[in-house]
Amino acid sequence: MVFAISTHTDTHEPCGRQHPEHLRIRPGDAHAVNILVTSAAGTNGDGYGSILAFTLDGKMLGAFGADSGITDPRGLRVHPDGDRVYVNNGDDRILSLDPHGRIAAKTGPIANLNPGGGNFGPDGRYYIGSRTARTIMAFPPGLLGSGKAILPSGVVPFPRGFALAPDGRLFLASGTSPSGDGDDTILAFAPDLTLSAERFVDDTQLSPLDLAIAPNGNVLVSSEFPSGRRMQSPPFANTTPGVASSYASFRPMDRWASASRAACALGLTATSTASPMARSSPSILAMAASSAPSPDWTASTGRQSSSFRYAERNGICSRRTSDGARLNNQQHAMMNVNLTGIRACVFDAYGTLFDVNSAAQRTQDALRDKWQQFAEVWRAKQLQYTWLRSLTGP
Amino acid sequence: MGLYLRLGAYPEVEKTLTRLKAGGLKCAILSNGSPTMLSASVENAGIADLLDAVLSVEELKVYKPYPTVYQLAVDRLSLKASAICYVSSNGWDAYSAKAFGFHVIWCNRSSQVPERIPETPDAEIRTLSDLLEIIGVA
Repeated sequence: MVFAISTHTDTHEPCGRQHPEHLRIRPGDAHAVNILVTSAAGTNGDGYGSILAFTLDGKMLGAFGADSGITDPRGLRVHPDGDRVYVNNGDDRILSLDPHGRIAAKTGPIANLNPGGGNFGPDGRYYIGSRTARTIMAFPPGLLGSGKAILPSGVVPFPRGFALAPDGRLFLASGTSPSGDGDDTILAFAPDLTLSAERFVDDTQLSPLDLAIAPNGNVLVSSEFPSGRRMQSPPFANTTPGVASSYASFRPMDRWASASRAACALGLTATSTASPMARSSPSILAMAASSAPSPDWTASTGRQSSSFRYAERNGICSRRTSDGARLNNQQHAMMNVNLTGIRACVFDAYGTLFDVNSAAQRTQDALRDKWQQFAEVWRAKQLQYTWLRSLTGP
Repeated sequence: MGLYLRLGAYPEVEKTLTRLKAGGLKCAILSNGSPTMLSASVENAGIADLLDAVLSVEELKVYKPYPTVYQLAVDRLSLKASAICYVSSNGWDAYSAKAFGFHVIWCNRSSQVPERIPETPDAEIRTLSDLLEIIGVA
């Protein structure tokens, strides 16, 4: 199963040379998981314009899905059933991909959709932030039709990430544009989408970027402050729903902030098990949460995977365009799946159970540095001879 | 070729097979190698007791990826192809076994690039230890 991360926060702001876009996970599973990162292209991030897969430890597996229909992907989400990944595509379409990254369904092009982040709602529909219309739109799971705006166009001047609670409430992060339009706040909407709180959190130090719902119902917020000066911000906050507009309910996570002063949490995902994950610039951060059930579900520390940094330095940030194209053509990662109904495992022998290099390695004294090359030729010849014998008949 | 009779198993092999057996699954080998080579390797690796069958193509006079070779496992284990998880480190073998109808896990030990042929394995792992989780053996 997959765990998709993308780093978009539904902002229009330039992200520099980063390109992982959002962060999303399949609920209920912390194992057999890959992380998918959208790598935006062009003005959205100057990246690969593809979806990249990583192990949880941050090892890059390659591009996920080689379908040419995947272009400039932005936000993405794994369907709650775990068998589809929904992708907000740069060509004004929404895609759904199968576990091999092939397009299983897609909308037609929708004028000015310009989709940012995406979330599944408790009603099963897929919701996306439309950057141009500055609203949130809902699509049926089969992606038929052109979507329905569920909030007025231009609901706030500078919308950012959003989250849907299991009870149907909608939380929308609002920021301030470079020209000063908009308010730094979180809006809350009732399940019937009437505005229930213009300031769900009344805190002047908060400039929310992305939101996620923690397993206990708390609203997690990645934040910058002051607006536009992320490096100095307490990047991760935790609010308790039901105590709207209460300063006391908002708790900047000081320890987390001090542990990562140089990092800024942007896109955000709550996992159902323990660690929320955030995309900082330009890495992915896994944050340890308190393990005991806690009404606060506080994030306490951030851990940045060194291999992620390596992957990004070598795979995402530093090499793009031609190298990126080669990567897309030659590599893809398969989403791990759970197989059921298996009653036997049948193994290939040589190279699978038995280490074919171990034979040549024993000749190392005689062959010295040539032993690996020798092993490869030996193995290749064996295979060639089996094919020759098959082709030439009994 | 004498060295091929004394090949070592990868370090996780014995433990993985043991846990599969404990989970109630049958385990078998299906190889292009000859019975002599295979039995020597199995003995040398000390995994004979963990295998329900060691199947060689020799009696068929044809090699993987010819479909009748994969059919041998179906026939000898008396299971449908869909109840069998086939595991290979060779990309060509994994993709071909998927085309035959097995569930397939590609143990891509050496980070080969994916094949550009139609059928894609169900999953890709780096070592056999990762197999257990995917087929639900704790």
